[in-house]
Amino acid sequence: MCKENKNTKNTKNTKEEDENMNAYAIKPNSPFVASKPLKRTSASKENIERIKLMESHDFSFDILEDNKVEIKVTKKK
Amino acid sequence: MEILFDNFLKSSDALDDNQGVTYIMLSDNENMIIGYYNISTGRVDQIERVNNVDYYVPMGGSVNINYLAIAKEYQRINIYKGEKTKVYLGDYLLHDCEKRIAMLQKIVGISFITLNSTEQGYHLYHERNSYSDFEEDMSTFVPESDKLCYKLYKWIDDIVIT
Repeated sequence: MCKENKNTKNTKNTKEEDENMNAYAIKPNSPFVASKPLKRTSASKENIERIKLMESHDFSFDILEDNKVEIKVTKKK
Repeated sequence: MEILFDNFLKSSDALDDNQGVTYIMLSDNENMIIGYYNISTGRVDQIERVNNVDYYVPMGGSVNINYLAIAKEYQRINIYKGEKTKVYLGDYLLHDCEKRIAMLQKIVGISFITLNSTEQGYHLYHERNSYSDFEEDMSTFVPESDKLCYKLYKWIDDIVIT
């Protein structure tokens, strides 16, 4: 679960590491304007399956000394 | 093409609630940022032309994902493999964001999630998480920087809540 960012000064991320965050979305410079009504799109079966998996498990992420991530997955009771 | 953030988390915008709120995904010992997203409210309009005059009619309120990013070394990490599907860190971060937005809908009443996807993020949103391409009215002004990205949307009622 993500937390609201109040202060990141206690994290180990250096300035260079912060600059190496890969962007999946960036703030647009123009408004969202459409010429016709926006259609609804139902989630795919695979999308639903994936969300069920995420909701039925707990995930934890441990960063090892070599900077690799160790992921622990436990089924929720 | 990869787009790297220029130190967004260290900028004043990351902590400015007037610009958006940033949520970070930390490692267990809370000393490493794995990823983050920043959201703010917005609006989607429909343009209607009457007698050569453009009118912008509100279609619905929105929450815009201003930024979503994963640390370069952790992107494309498969965090769980089920029988029928895999879960990547990007899916996990986006799902957290969507759950938060679905909760906001109950409080303030909003219709859409909108975002400006990078080429790198398009597969995550469009192929894996059922976001649709925004059919932009080409007569409106689109800055050059936005042409490198894909405007996407999802109706909040289409978010899967289990």
